[in-house]
Amino acid sequence: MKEVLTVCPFCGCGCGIYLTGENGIIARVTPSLSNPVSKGSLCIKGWHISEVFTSPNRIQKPLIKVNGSFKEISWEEAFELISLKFNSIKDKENSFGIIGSSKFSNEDSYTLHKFARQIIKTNNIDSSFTLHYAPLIERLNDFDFYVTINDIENSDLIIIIGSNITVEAPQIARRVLKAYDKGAKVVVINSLKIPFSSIASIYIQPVPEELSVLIETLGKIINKKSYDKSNSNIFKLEEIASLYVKAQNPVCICGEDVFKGVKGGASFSSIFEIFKHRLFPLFTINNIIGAISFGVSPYVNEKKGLNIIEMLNASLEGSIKCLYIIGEDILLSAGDYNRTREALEKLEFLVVQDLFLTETALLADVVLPACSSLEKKGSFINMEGSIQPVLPVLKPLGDSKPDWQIFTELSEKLGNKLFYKDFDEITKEIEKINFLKNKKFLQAEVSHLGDVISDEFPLWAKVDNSRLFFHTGTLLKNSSTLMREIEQGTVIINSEYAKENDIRNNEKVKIISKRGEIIRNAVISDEVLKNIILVRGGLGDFSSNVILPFGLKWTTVRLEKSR
Amino acid sequence: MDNSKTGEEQMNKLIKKENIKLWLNEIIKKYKVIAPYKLETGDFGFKPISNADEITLDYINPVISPVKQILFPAREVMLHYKKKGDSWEVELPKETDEKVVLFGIRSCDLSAMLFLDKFFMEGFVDNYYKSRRDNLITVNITCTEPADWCFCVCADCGPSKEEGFDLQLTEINDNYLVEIGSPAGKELVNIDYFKEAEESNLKEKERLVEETKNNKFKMPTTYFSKAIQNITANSIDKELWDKLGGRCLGCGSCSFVCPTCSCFNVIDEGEDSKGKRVRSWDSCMYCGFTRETSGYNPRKAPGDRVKRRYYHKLSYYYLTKMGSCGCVGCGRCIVSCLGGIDMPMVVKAVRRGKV
Repeated sequence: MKEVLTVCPFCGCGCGIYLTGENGIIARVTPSLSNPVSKGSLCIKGWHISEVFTSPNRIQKPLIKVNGSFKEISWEEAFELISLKFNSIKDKENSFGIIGSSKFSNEDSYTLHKFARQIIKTNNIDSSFTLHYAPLIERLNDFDFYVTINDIENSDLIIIIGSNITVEAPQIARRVLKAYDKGAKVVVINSLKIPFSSIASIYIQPVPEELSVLIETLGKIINKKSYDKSNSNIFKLEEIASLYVKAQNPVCICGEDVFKGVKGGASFSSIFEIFKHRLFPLFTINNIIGAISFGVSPYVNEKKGLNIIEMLNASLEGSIKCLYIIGEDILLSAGDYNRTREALEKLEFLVVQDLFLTETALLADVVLPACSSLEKKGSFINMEGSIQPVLPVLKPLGDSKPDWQIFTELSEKLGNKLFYKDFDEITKEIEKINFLKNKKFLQAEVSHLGDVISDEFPLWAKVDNSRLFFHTGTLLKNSSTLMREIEQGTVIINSEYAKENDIRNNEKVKIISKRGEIIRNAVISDEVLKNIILVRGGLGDFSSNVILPFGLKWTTVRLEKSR
Repeated sequence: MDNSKTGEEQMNKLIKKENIKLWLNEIIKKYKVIAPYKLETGDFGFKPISNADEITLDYINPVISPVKQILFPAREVMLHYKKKGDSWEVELPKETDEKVVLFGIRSCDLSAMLFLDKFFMEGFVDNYYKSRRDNLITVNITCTEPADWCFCVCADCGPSKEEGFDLQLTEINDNYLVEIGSPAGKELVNIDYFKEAEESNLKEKERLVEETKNNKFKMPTTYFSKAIQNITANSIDKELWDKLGGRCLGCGSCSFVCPTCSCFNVIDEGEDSKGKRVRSWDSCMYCGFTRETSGYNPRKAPGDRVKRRYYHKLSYYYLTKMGSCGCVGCGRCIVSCLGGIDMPMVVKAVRRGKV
């Protein structure tokens, strides 16, 4: 009944939690009162950790695909098969790719970085960072953590740009409310209405393609340069600028709709220039910062490798022949489901290492069972840049192993012995290496080309994560309580648009983008602007990837009635 | 009358502070003892102890009430089931008759236990709860250093209890005054280290409690009565509830940390042929909590759920049913609510008709 202090494995807030393991289950989850992030509280996801990681759906043994179905094998057999296949692949530098998890520990990340560069000898290694934070990549060497989570509580002006903050980072939302209660002004700039729009003293609801221009203008006003006064929101922008100039401790929080929104590169670039040391980007995956800090990135060696999307494209073109994917359900996270699927199916050999038999794992030739962060030692870096230790509460489930150990054993099988005997050896080594802190990134520019409005696709569509889903939902769909909370998938449509196009409440509509189509029940509501639809919630969330481009949450669509 | 008073006086003992650990070690020999301790991280928790040196009585209430944690655990296996031929084999968890002494809890948590007793043991009896409750002996302490968020005095649940305890300790100078409230409690002091308390000790305790009530609470007064009146009369604008609901992030923390909240969900976890039935804490602030099988949800909007929660806590209907309002003033909701919706805040809003 010992309480172990560890870090919540879900979002990037990094709450300190006590877990109590008893007979192989988590009997209790308690938020730490003294931890600077959790301060005695958790979100709905954190409270239900106990239902997720001991789920009977966990993979407990290595699996191999025989005639289309999976068969359990031993680790020895799995390593044998994998090393044979890996060794048979020629020109690994160009034909081999590794996609690492943004959820596993710093130690796992660093071991994978070495595995890629020293054993496989390829720079084609990436995490989902490139999918979710592409606009930040060219700024990585200028980036630092200036604002802490608790600074936000003492801020007197909070500007929230493109983030449904209550969903993306509940602990940050908590700080915003605390600051608001103490008299801080809240400004919201978002194409979609968010719960905090109602407490905002200034709320701007731009059409998606307008956001980058808007922020650019805001920058000009603040920096006293000449600007175009024809913008319909110009008075509000001038007011924001005047608040910003007067504020003692302003903070700008930006999130998903900047990073994965329309013209996100331009928007983020302006935000970065304007707010610099007052910027707090929401990194919403527990250790996505750790992944890039410890080498799971194509931009940290002497030579650039392919990023996650380039790897998928290279597979479609036939140059990448083998992928080793760890803890990333890329089929659901990359966007453009059909293209991703095609890319994965085209591979000669696919190894997936995960906790669950994910959609991506179903396409694999070999699946390796990793253990969860509740079953191993390590550390995570949260969204304010704090490194927090992670401690095991349970024994590894079944035959599952810590990721770093799998990389180590596999490298030995591949004929190399430069890896680690124990965990402490890695800890010692990574103390010196932190690519983000040491500003060691190669200059790179990654842009996800978004869609544009046309006669064929006249509406903007945002695919919204359910607040209950962390990332792709792979983990949380194992919690019965959270599954009960999932609402049926819907599409929110503006009433005026609905009237003009004779769409009624609860009617099934087809949402068509240039990549594919999905069907949703319509909910008529003026929470969205006339030329935007919001695809929301539901288990069907997974399939809503079909309409999205790689790395974005926005696309353009048309609606049709569905029979 | 006089007799009973003499009786009461005889029920009070005194123990020297330096002997308290010796006494506790005697208890440990006979009972399983769960007591507060300080973790290396700086937080406090309750755990089974094997030596009195492990405990601290100078602690901040843990986020989860120790009483709730023991009597109504967050996750509990109710039964294991297995398919056997055409029928099912059901195995219940083993009951133990081990007596447990819960040492060093505060009056708020003790009050919450008495509240939970009503829910789980009056009318329909919950045997999972009862089997643990029957074996539980509590030793609570009079609290003279309330935390920043405490308001037990407003809920009349602290800082000291007048009844309902097995043993109650109050620190008086170099001694602890030990009030005996039940035969089980008496059993614990049936050894050396104790002497009879005197009238002056009781007077000193009363003085201390009054001083604490008057000078030590940092929270402004929570005026329950007007709030209960307004809620019972249903005279609060929907707009107010919606405003409160607008701050709700739907985390469920309020229900989990509230020591009087007792709602649970029952889930079967397993495969087709075998598995376990698990009961786990649930929250009325979750959307699916009141959703009906048809899909209709009478409390879909967060504001409606906040309203329901506080009706349950404060309306006269539940007050008469449960004997008290559903708040003991421990202040855990103040600590834990992500949206800053807590009992004192809601009482104030409901009283004034605005946030």
